[in-house]
Amino acid sequence: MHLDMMSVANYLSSLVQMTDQKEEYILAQALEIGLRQLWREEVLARYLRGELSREEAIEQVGITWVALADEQAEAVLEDIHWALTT
Amino acid sequence: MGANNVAVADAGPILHLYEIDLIELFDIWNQVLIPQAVWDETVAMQRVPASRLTEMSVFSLRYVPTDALRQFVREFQFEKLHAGEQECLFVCREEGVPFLLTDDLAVRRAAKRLGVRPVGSLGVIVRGYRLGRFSLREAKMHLRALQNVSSLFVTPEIVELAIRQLE
Repeated sequence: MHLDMMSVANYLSSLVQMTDQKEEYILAQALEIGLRQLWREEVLARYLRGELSREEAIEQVGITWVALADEQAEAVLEDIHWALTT
Repeated sequence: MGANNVAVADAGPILHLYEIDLIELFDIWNQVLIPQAVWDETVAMQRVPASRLTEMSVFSLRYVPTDALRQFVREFQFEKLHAGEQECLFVCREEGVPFLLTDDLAVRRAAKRLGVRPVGSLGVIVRGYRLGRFSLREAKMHLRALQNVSSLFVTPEIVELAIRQLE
């Protein structure tokens, strides 16, 4: 089965089998990773909406993620300008 | 867009638009060229059924000679790109194709170096909206599906940034 098609329960049972770790450990890791991702997305969202300075965003999530957000935003704006105006 | 309305497709947009059931949107181009390596990454790896591409006359497969590709990659220092990406750029250059459909930021940069306009999955959807293929409401739904449903790596805020441009 392709991973994208798996349910959350299937992910969990598969990870338990594949990693030989306890279910509780994987759930704790998932929570931590998920929270970190949600935090990062929120910081980048606030940065892209102009509610955070670039320096503040870099301080909170690191230059790699901020640079990626910059480049993605630039690409999207380029695409939209082309799509709507040519 | 006329005779120059031709694009080369990298694997990303083929996969991502297929995953949100918008593969038909590729027909906003007169012709979409698929290099062999991209076909291998998408169809041969069973990520997209061959029939979904072959049933649309817009798609056309391109074979890229190994020696010529190697020389091209060396000349432009594209060694860090994947085979499919290298072949896309080669076909653009060889056939004078003005658009490269890609969701990869490094490939976007490479395309610009060759004077080719890169367009991502998100841009294809917005273009479809501009050409009247769907309503604003549907366009927003498709853009959000790119982030929520497809395997494209894009943050929610980038999608919302795009939606704000449409409103």
